[in-house]
Amino acid sequence: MELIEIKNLVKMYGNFKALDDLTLTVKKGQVYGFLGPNGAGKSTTILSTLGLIRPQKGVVSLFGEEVFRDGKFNEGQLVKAKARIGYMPEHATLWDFLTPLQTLDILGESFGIPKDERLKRARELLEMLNLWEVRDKKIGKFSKGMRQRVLLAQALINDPELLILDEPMTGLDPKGIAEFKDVIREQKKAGKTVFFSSHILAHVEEVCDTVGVIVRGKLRVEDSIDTIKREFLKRAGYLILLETDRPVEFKDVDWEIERVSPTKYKIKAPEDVRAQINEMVWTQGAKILQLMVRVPSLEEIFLKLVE
Amino acid sequence: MLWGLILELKQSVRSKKVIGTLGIMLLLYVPLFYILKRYGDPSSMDVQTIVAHMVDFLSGMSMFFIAILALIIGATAINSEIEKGTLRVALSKPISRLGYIGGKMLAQAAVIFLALLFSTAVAIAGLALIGAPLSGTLVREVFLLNMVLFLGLVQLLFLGYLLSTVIKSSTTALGLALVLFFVISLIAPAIVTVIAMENTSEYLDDAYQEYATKYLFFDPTTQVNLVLKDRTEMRCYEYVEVRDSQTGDVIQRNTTETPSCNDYKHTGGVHESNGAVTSMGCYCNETYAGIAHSVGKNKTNFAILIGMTFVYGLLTIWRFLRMDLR
Repeated sequence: MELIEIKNLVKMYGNFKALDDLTLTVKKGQVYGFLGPNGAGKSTTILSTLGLIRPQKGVVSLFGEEVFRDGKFNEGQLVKAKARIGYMPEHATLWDFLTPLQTLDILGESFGIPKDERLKRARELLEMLNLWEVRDKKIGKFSKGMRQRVLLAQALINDPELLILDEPMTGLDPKGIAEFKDVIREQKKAGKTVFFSSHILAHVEEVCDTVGVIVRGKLRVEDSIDTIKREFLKRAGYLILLETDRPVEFKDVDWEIERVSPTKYKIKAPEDVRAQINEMVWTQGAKILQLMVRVPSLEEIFLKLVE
Repeated sequence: MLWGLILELKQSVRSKKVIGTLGIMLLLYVPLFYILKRYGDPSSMDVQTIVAHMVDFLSGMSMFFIAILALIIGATAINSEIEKGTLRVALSKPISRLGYIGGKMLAQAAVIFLALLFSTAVAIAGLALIGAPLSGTLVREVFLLNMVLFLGLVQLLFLGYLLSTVIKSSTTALGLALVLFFVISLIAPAIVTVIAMENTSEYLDDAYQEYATKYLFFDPTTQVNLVLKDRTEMRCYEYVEVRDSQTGDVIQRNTTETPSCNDYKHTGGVHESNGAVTSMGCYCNETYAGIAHSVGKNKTNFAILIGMTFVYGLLTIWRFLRMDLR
């Protein structure tokens, strides 16, 4: 079942096309990493989904119900859908003069959750995110990391089926990032769907099963991380470094070969050809002193896609 | 809608802004009581004098301060929430845009209402403290005065809201609100006064009201002053009095109320016959008629005051329902 279905979405800011015919689908149970460089349209996509931004064209459906079509929101359906969503905005603060407990209480009230139940839920969340100790301190005095955790807590107050996180890990220290990843994994374990954006690949790589890459308002790739890696490697090729005890020759191959020194080679091949190299060197009576393969990182794949 | 209102009210209760405003209001009353005490013995003052002082003071100085405050609170209401991101958090919850903005505006208007109730209470307590004679009329008048001020303040608040939906940066909106306030509340009335003076030879007040109604419909401070200006009323009486010419005792006196003495024909006529002196005349008394009377006499200005509040409020809602909240 599709929880988010975006079709041909177009959003213009004046003459700037922020979303250019964007189509995207998030299915139930997925952890979807929404990647793209700064200014690619990630936040615009998320805000459009929640009805906070009004695109000019396209269709947005949440939980199978249409909430937006060609410049018009269906407020009734949108409100219904929002009751099942938890959203954590980017660059946001909460009310400085409220405490985490007060914030969760007030925001929980909007879902119509009874007082004692929402306080119980708030306690669970604050304990899970190590905020219970500071529950009665004003958020205005919190550090960035603590604020991010309160923001995450408020997104989880209604135990949402769909969690939408906009750049949740930006500006966090490694420990904070690890905690966030844990929360995402736990959501996945509980059968929830997570859709989160990031411009940093490392954040997405470990926890996501599906990745969508948006560049200049268009979705370039949408697939599983493994498939994307494999596809890219095919295109970008493997880089193999070889050192032998005496010069060797490579015949009948379409690899790109660069001779760094008489016995050192840089080989670029479309696939992992270490076995073939081994054999060739062996048949020429030479010995391999060093054989290294460098697999491109996701970062490089990402940069290549963005170019 | 209800949740938007509760959210805003809960915030207001806990924010220092509201407490600060109440504190300022409290402080503003101190000089008023001081002036009243210096002016004369408060215990012998009548309602008219006290209310006149309060109107002068409130519609002058404190309206000035609190009005700027209301405009500023409005002018940074929505844009600062967009900047901080709190609006995105609130609107990601199951609430419609209309419910959110409606609740927020209502809640802030309610806070202003409560602030003015507080101001009423402070005024009455202060008057009791300096020994002014408290009466039902005085309490009613102080309350009504604050309620008329409430209408003016809500209009400024909503004008501010409109600004905050049009101008994205809250700091720009803040600066612009101040400039706008000086233009609409100081410069424009001054210009209209000059125009009124140029175009009339007598009764400047009437001419001013005519021009101010036409050209200062956007300035709530002017409209509040016009609505409040006819608190007193001229009551005129024609009388016929017969006195004994020997003793000077009044034998008979007939008094009839008349709209004005301008048409009175027998001014100062005295006749003497059969040992009796008949004198006739017309006199006018200024009596205190109250704020409700003044509102009734200046219905157009009162309607403008309320009408513009609705215009700003509806424009704000219209803008908010359409804008991008980022």
